[in-house]
Amino acid sequence: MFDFDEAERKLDAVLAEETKESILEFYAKERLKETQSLLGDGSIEELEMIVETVTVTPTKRPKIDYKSNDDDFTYSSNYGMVA
Amino acid sequence: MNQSAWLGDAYYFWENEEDAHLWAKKSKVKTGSYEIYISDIDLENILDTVFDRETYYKWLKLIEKATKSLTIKSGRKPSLKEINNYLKINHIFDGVPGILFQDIPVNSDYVLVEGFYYKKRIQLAVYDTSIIRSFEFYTEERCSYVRF
Repeated sequence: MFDFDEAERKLDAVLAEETKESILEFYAKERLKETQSLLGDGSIEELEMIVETVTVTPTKRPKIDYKSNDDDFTYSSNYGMVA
Repeated sequence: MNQSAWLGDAYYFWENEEDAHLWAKKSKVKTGSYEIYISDIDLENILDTVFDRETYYKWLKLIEKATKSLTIKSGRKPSLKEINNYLKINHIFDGVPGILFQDIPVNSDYVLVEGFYYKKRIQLAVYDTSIIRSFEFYTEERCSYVRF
């Protein structure tokens, strides 16, 4: 049978030593571990670069009117890229 | 750690076959199929928080004592992963080969009476794999469950 009394004594001793700073440090280390596990062999700096790269704010493109060589044919587009 | 890993890094087993199917159908939609394995596990020294009243309340007391203290001192509640890792690194449950625990899913898929959530969803978290006597293929199924 698991000794719950001993476990509680152990827990009480550990908790008595904890401060706000030590607990927040523990939380920070846990976040770091989680981030590292997501990266695999990569670094936190690489993760930050990836996050910046993929964060794109969509913008509405200006309407562009095209005119072809055929004067009777024109068209407008909201998508401004022309190959 | 998977978000549904209630008790930290461990091998998780469903008590009931029905729960294994329901979980797999929701989790394995992308693969289109899943396999279920059946295991014979020695439960003699595990913490049974589901059917053993005394164990449940003693286990609960430790979890709540740790959580309350960390919350009051730091100003925020620990996450599921944080509390599990805190108890692990401080060796509170050292020697425990596994913990049997449950939740009550509030999902009509699990019950025959609408709104009456009478079924426990029981899992075993195994920390010491030496208690696993056998692990054998049981069945393979297609996923036909559609999530919305």
